[in-house]
Amino acid sequence: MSAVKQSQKLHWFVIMTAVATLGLIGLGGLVTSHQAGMAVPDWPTTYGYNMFFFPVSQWVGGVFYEHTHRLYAAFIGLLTSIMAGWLWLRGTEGRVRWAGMLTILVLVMALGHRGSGQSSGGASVIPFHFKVLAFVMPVLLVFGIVQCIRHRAAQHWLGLTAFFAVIFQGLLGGLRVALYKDEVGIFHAALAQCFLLLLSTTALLTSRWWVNFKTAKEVPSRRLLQASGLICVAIVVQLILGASMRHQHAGLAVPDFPLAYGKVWPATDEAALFEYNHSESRLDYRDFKPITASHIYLHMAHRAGALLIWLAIMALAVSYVRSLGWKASFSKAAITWAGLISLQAVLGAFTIWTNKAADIATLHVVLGAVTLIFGSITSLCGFRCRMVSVNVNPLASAKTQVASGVKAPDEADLVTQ
Amino acid sequence: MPLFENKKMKTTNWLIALTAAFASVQVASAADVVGKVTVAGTPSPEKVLPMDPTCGKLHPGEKPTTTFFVVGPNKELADVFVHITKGLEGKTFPAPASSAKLDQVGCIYVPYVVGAQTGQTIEVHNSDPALHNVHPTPTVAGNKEANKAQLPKSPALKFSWDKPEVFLRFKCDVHPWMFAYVGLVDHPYYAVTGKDGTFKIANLPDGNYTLEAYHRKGGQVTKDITVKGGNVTVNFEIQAK
Repeated sequence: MSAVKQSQKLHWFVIMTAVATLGLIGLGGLVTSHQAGMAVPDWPTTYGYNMFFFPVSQWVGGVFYEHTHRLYAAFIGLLTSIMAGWLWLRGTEGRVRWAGMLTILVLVMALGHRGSGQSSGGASVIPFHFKVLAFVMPVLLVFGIVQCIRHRAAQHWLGLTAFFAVIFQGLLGGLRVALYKDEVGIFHAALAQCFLLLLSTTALLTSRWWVNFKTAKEVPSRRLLQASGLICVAIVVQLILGASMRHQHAGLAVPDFPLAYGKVWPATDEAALFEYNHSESRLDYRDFKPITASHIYLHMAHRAGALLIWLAIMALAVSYVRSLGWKASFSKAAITWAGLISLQAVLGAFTIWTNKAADIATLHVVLGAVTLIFGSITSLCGFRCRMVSVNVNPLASAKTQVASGVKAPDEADLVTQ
Repeated sequence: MPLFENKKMKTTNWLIALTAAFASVQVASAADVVGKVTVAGTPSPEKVLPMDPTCGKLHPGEKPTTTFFVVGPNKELADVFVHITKGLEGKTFPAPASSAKLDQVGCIYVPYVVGAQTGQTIEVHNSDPALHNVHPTPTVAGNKEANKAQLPKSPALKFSWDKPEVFLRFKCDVHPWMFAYVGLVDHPYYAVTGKDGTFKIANLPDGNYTLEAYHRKGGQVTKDITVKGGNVTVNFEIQAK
């Protein structure tokens, strides 16, 4: 098929979907911050109602957060379905086109059938076809990811993979409730971040800048770009650590900052844990689970990760300024990233100082996502600049480069035009 | 009086005396264990519950607080689960036909602590004009978690579990301050102290036992007791933590 023309309308639609997804991550954060994840016992219904017809008068307390999260998630599913169909129609033809569109249609219709009006939790109330989809969707998601790699991040495969991901994400959310599994909640939170990353990447790849890019005015060094990539991976790990912490339901494992129980590294023996669990700060109306040594290790790992990432981004920003100068776009982006991660660290501190106030903790989650996306997108832009500057397809393998007679990029730190 | 009638009367008298002796032995083989639980030290102040407007309207006067330590004027401690932990080995007790009851009133579980026996039905009522979800979260392996919606004035929800667990927690995720705890044991010898701090465990057979007073925040205190021929009085003091 001939190269797909860039569409600004599509590009803005993808941006809108990504921004809306960030809002959904915020809503999901509020659900966990308010411990409302189980406030609606049944799924995919809501207190026995079709979720779209649940009376507004009953949107009270924890139900408000969980139910609006589910409704908004359905909206994101709709946007993603439209985006996937749009990308697929533009990027394919013939039998492949109609096979893809049929897949999208069948899955959307399958999800539309919401099951019976039971109002209790448990696996027995999940409709059979949802149970089937819970096994099918991870397979389709992996298939989509493989196709994205094989087809060098072709837009239509990115869109379809995002569609598979959003369905799987919805199923995970429902299964977390129906099966009473916090572990599923952790995976649900982590996949949300990855899904946002996928949408943001799709937005970038559908942009005029990416499609029409020919000349790089600034080219970051390979070393700096690799460092950026590694920091993004570290941020993903940090987000997973944070999600794990939040789903322990043990409150603040370490209630002070920057010290931990008054020390650089807190004691975790039985006597110390007894003292921690019987301190006045644990007399909380939320009745948290007792703190264990594992909770403390998880918390401290998150703090250590935060420090490492902060130092790494600071060092990266300094390196960019030294190599490209203050006025270079990539230097400004690196400085902005440094600002974001500093703000994120401050929010983390305030999360502790306010005893996990729901709004602060949720803002910390959202800014974590923004930090990941910002770093990832600027890294991708940097890779684009670098690859175009040496006239190499950015996603071709080294073998292909050699076979096509293209010289591989050298190890020079800086090329500025 | 004829000899035959005299002998008959003697036999009857012996039988009556024997029956009385037997009955008195039966009565003396079980007794009540009574006592009082008090708190030592001063508990931390309770925290006001952050109720939403729907529930807040149900408390127009003083705002309800947490009830970690319910202490009377003379240091009496309520909500202490007092039960036998040793001395009943090898004995089985059928679950009672009656149900233990919890209610949701003013968006608060009433009572906060209740006792029940394994296999006994625990009924949860909703007397509120608000919806709740009833979410028991057992931690003992074999006791299954559940989560059920309960609309206002709807029929009572019923639960039961087979494994002992002190304290099995009930919560409402719609209203995150709502909790109740069930002291679930595999025998009928338990009690929960009231506001006056007193408890009574009735008809405990003669024997040597370990009695435990367990407060959710104050912890556990145990005492060895011997029941023989009469009521036993045991008092506990639990340290506020």
